[in-house]
Amino acid sequence: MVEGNGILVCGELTEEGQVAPMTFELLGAARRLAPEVGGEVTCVLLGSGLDGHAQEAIAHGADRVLLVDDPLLRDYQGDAFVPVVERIVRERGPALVLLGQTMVGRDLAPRLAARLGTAVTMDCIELAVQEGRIVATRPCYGGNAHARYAFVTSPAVATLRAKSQEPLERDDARQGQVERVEAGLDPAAVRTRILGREKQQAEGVRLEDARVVVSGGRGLGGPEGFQQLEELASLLGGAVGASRAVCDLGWYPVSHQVGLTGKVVTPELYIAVGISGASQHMAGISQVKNIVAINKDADANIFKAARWGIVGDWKEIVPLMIEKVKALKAAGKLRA
Amino acid sequence: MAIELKVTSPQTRRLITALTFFTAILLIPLVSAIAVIAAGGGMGEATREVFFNIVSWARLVAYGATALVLLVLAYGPLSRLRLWLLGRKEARWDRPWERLKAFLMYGIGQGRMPNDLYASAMHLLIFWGWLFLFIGTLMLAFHDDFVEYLEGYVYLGYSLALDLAGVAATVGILMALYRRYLWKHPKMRLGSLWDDVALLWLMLAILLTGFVIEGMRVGVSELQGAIIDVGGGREANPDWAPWSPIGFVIGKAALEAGASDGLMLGIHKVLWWAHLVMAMGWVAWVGYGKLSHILLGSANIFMRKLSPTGAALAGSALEPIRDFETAERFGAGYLRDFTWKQLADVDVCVRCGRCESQCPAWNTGKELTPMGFLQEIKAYLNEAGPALQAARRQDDGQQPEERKVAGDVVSFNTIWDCVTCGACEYQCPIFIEHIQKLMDMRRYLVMEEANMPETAQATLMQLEQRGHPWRGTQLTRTTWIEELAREGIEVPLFDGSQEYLYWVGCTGALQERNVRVTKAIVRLLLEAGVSFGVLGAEESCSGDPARRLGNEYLFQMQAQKTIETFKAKGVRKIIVNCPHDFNVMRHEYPQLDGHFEVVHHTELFARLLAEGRLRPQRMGDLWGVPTTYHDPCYIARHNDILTEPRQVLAATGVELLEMGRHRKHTFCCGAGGGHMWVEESKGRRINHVRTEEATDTGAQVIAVACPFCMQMFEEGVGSVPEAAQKGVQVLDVAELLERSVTFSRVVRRGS
Amino acid sequence: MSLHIICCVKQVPDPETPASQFKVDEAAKKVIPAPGIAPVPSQFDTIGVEAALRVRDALGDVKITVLSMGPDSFRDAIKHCLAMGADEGVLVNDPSLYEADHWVTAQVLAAAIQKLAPYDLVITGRQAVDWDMGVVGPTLAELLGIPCITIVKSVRVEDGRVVADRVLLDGTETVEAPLPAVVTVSNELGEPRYPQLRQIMMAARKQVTVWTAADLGLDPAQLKNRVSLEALYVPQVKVETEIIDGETAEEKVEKLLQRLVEAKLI
Repeated sequence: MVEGNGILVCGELTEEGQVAPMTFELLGAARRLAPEVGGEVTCVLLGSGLDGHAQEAIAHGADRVLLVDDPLLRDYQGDAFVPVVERIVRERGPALVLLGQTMVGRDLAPRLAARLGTAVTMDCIELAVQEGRIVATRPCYGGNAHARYAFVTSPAVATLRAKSQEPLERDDARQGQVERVEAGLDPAAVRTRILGREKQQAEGVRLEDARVVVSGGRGLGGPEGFQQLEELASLLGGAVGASRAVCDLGWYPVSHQVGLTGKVVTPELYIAVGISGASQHMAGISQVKNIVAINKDADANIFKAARWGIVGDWKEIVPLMIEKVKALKAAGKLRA
Repeated sequence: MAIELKVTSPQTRRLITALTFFTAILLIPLVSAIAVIAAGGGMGEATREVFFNIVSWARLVAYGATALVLLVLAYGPLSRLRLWLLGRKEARWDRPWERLKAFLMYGIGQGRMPNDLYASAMHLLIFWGWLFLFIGTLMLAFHDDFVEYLEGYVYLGYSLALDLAGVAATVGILMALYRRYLWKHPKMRLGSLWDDVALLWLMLAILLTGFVIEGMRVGVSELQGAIIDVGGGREANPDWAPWSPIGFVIGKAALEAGASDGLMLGIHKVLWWAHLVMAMGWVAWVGYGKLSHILLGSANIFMRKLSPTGAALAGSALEPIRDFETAERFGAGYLRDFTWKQLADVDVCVRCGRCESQCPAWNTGKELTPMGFLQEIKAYLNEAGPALQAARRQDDGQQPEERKVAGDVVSFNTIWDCVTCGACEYQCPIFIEHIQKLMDMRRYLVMEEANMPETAQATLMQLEQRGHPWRGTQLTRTTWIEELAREGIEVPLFDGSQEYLYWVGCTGALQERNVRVTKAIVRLLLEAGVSFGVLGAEESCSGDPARRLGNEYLFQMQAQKTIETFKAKGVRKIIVNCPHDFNVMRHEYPQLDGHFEVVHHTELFARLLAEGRLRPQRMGDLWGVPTTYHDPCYIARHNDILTEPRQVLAATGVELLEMGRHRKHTFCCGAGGGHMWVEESKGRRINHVRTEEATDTGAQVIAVACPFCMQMFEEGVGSVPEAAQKGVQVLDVAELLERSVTFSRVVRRGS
Repeated sequence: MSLHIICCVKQVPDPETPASQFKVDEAAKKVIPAPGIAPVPSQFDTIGVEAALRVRDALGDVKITVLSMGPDSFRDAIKHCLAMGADEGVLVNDPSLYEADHWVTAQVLAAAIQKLAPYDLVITGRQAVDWDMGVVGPTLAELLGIPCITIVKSVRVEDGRVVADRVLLDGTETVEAPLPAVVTVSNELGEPRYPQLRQIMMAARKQVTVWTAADLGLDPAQLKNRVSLEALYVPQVKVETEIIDGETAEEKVEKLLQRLVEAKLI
């Protein structure tokens, strides 16, 4: 048995106020670890105007849900969230605290661990219990290597990579406890202030949700190529992604960057055009099972990870793909 | 594109230069001499009265005016010299005999003229015509003041010669006027009222008045057999008149029109004085404006940059910065950072427009024009120079406000658009050095201000951190060697015992498309039994991209490292397939005490074919394939290697179709000057324009001899619709040779 | 008003090492440096220095100290940052710290930062490009007891406050905090500036201050890692790849689409 009592999952809410899918993935992982860790799987949700959210968490595997409902928790700010979670952890004493590798998790987890005087491992893809210790496996060196860490202190704090864990099947029949917890926040303790938010107009399908992603890299030779990729993506009902190299060059907006420091995506189909397959980029699609690579260089790294590949010039291949997909679509041969 | 009539064959160009020299010098005197001989006898007394119909004190006026005018003339260059001296020291008078030769060949012999035949002919006529007229005037002065030798046949020949010279000059001026007003040639873009237009009309006026004066004199004296004031009175003979043919025609026409002696003498007198004033004015003008090219242009040719290593152009080998620790400024940012010779260059420029007409940047809609930026510096030199010079004399440490030349007077884009192809320097008839100036400004921007296009910055960072410019490559310097090993081909590593080092270069090892060329070269070398080795992992960047991108410091560090590696390994001869590395090793490594014998792969293969060590198949796969050859700038223009690649192509059996801009007129692929990695500022992409030109020849294959040209054309044939539709292929000369040669020792590609 | 910014930097194996050259010594649990490929300053760290330089461009009177913890070779990273325009460089070089995890690293850096006080802003990269953790920056904030703004693409200082634009998945969030504070920067901030030659030459002459753990009043025996690295390895990727062949591009595309339709992927 591991030192500590149960697993605490730090849930997140989407902008629309729903429980984020990431939370369900964390609960799935927690559930699978629970037998070895022992104790309950508790999910804490922080926000403002929480209602019915607890049921969602329970249906996805939580034994207990802690609702911390406070206007100060409406938008994420470290100075507000960290002390709350810290207090809960100190009170409940879990063995393991799980968060998502999200914009919130990246900020919350290290600070929480620091306050608790414990270690944290970020962006993990696998968690296990070995010889009474929590063991986390995570990619490093841009995805070139994997590192496995064993926690020496308790609790273990870890963030999990998006889409690396399977959530449980939703089961509304599941039972669980719901507790409302006071935030107990002193507004003066929140030293930061959010001055404003600007949303980038995302056209079409969101990269993170797309079933098909058509992605462009330096092999496109310039920003013009993306017009064709957009057309292809649109025909396939998908979204367009870009490698970090072309985003840095300004060929495509950064919000479409796929990779270790961009978005991690898990479409069913990922078409990489003119992308060499550097590890940094591959880290963004490490969970994708069906990669199609189109590249002029037969020795490009991407072909090692691709299920299908065409060695050729995208300028030739992509227009042909567009043409034939149109024909297939017209003939009703494509998936809806 | 401007219409060009030019001659590219080197043999024809030499012929034309020889012809201009000898024929022009001899033609007029020769024709005159022949005519005189054929004329027969009876002309012993022929002569003319100098200062006919003119008051005798006109002599004093003429000589006085001459003295005055010479002073005015001299003041011109001297006042410019004061401004040039704002610049740094630079010595350009070593090896005087070579310099004299250059002056004779390019100055008197108009050696650069075959680049534009129309302008060439036009300038030749004006040049020789005017020169003879000038000499003729001197001869007359000598005759008048010292020895009266212009008598008889000598005089008649003299008179005929000068008339012919006058006609030549007039035709030349008319050609110039036509070019400016009716043809409206684009090279005339930077014309100005006083410096160009007024000058032409003045010269025409001088010529025409000269003819009319002669006509009036002939009409009054010779045609009427009047007594002229020579040696106590001599009767002028009508038979002499035809020996001044133009004068004869005009005089005759005047008489037949019924002009009285009084009228003709009156016209004569007025026009004579007008002619004197205008001619004097012209002489004074030689010190200024466009006419100053007579003095300054000649001086510029004399002071041209002489390369110790045989580089073809001044800008082929850039000048090093000798001491970074003590240099007051890196590169040229302000007027005083240029050398005096660089400042003089901008004054020498007569805005002929040839450089601009060939510049790949200008021709694709970019800001850079070689003529333009010179004129910008000149305008600023005029504007700020005097004040700066005055401040310098005062020497009180006060510096007046001055604009930065690099980036302000000459724009950022202008400086960065340059691909160092050398077309400008090759065209310039008076050897202005465009490239070094632009590169010096680039150095200033990079090393003093770190101000450069993002792509240049990224490339320099990449060069510094990783020792090669190819960011993102998944290959290493030995990947190609390992791949060949898997095919059973062992690539020898250089250990000092081999004759040659084969320098693969960053591109040849790290870019997939170019690795195929490297492998082809290695297979050919092994087949031919050449003794060679490669450095493999010990190769690092030659330093050329750093230098062309303006980071002289990084260049020297990288070059020194490579030179040390060469020396440590006992390298003496180097085979290079990259023209840029070839150029840097041949002409710029010696600046850093690295002296090696460098040969381009096409040169070597041409030799191996000639020696029979490579055996081309008869009617092989490539037989008759329409192919065009793109001359790489750094091989053709900077290094005069023109025939060897063509010899190699001939051996492959392809049908060679030449582009209009070929040999030393080759149009850059767009990758020089660091532009392989730097985005173009605006306008059409240079490589697209050149790909179109190549496709228009009807070629199915574009043969290249440079890894950058290879990259540029590969991109081009994918982007330019006609090329893409036709499926035009790009292949290195070595790849083509590989397909045409019988391999007995080595496993062939693709087996 | 004089501002003191401290930028934390470290040196890493070149992330652009070709995949074929990336090798791990599993017994030693270390990456084997690829021959001929020099280490580089971690990318986000130099972007942090760029952020500091931009603050100086705007305000003028700003002192920038570059701080690192590691062996002597990390000097190169510090020198690079000095060449960019930073004023001072400090290296905490103590062999007992070479195997430090992020917890110990943060402790040591926090001690060094306090020794460099007074300071107004601490800037780190959002994560180091070797371990990709992203923990030291926020941990520093907690250890120093100051506010923290993570993953930003612009940094401004005005009236004793730092205003930063955070990178969100689909937009930007502007946050302000009172100084002193910690800020971690992301690549969206822009490219680090190219060092001017004179700066490079000056940086080469500058001395880097070197401290040991003792100089910081720390006892290495008390600094114990809180995670233990159990294994480091290159994951084996097993994918069955089919390179579609065909005579023409058209044929290849047709075959590919056929496969995709059969697999019900499109």
